[in-house]
Amino acid sequence: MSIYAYLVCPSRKLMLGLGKPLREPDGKIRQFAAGSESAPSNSEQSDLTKALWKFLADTTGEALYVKFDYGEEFETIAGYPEIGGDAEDGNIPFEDYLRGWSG
Amino acid sequence: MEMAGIDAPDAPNTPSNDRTPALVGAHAGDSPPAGHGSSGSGTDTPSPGHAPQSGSGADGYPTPEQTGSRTPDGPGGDVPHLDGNDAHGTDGGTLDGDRTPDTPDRDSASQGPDGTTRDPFESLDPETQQRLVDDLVADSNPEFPLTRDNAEAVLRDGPPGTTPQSAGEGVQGADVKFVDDNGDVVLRRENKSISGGYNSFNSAIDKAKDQIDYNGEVWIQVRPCTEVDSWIHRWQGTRTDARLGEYTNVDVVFRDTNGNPLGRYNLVERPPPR
Repeated sequence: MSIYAYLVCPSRKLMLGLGKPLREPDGKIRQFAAGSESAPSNSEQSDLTKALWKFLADTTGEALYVKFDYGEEFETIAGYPEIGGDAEDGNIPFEDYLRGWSG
Repeated sequence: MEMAGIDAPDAPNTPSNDRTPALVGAHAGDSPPAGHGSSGSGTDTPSPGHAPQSGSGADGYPTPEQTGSRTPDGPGGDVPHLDGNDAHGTDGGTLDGDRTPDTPDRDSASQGPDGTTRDPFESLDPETQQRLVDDLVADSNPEFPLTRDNAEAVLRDGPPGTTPQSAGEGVQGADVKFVDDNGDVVLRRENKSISGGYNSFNSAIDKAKDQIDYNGEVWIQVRPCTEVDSWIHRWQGTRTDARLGEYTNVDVVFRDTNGNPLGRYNLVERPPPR
């Protein structure tokens, strides 16, 4: 699907890519899947999973949203630094985000 | 829906340099000639034979300058339009959930009656064609959905001898795969429909290249008159040659909502400085 989901913290201006929403036949989202069809499930991607836990710790007390990559507001959201994104775009690669973190 | 607390970003995605390239390998047509594209060889290994397309139209496609970049019909763009009938059947074409990937009905011959290579999409029966288009439209940005023309274009002009399949909503990875008779994926295409600006484009590329495993095509629907050249220039301008080299086998194809091809770009091509 061309849709992608992100975990977004507006107050910290930070986001984490979750992946393509995979749906059941009734439309309910079953899981998110980051990467190609041969990629491990999200929970088996250690950097992504660790980053999710660190993201939760870093944003304690703040409002978090799961947002899709469409709608007027996404142009603003897409400008936030993304955990796991390319450094060239002002994002924070997993390696940098998780360096020295033991959680 | 408004989301509380979302303010304008601190421009983290704004390049700080001024290395905007002057020229990229743009082609007004959005469909490659036979053999073009980021075709793999049945594996995920990038094709070593893939050559970046020059901006001179040397591959047979005119540059935007030659065509005004608004050519209404590129190859594949002058095809009969499928109507909106929902012919969603139960056979083939869609990889859905845990179902075994199946293959749409396809004529055994991949050549037309005049001996020319046949577009794999033309080898599908009309119901399967309809269903694949329906799948792609239903699976796209609900606030800026893929047009039927553009959905059909994504399914057209696949590598000879392959069959187009859509992933559907239950399968991770690329939206469209062209699969050969051995079941190997020869080409992957990911659809994105962008109603926003550069930030949205940048995010789309970042995710799409992973979904196609750095080997395939990203088809992007945009609003008419979107300056896609400037997006490509800016995106390339923030990256070193080494980083761009990772995108050797990634092409980006733009079409607007009127079905006009706006350009085909190979992301590794760094144009000369202005």
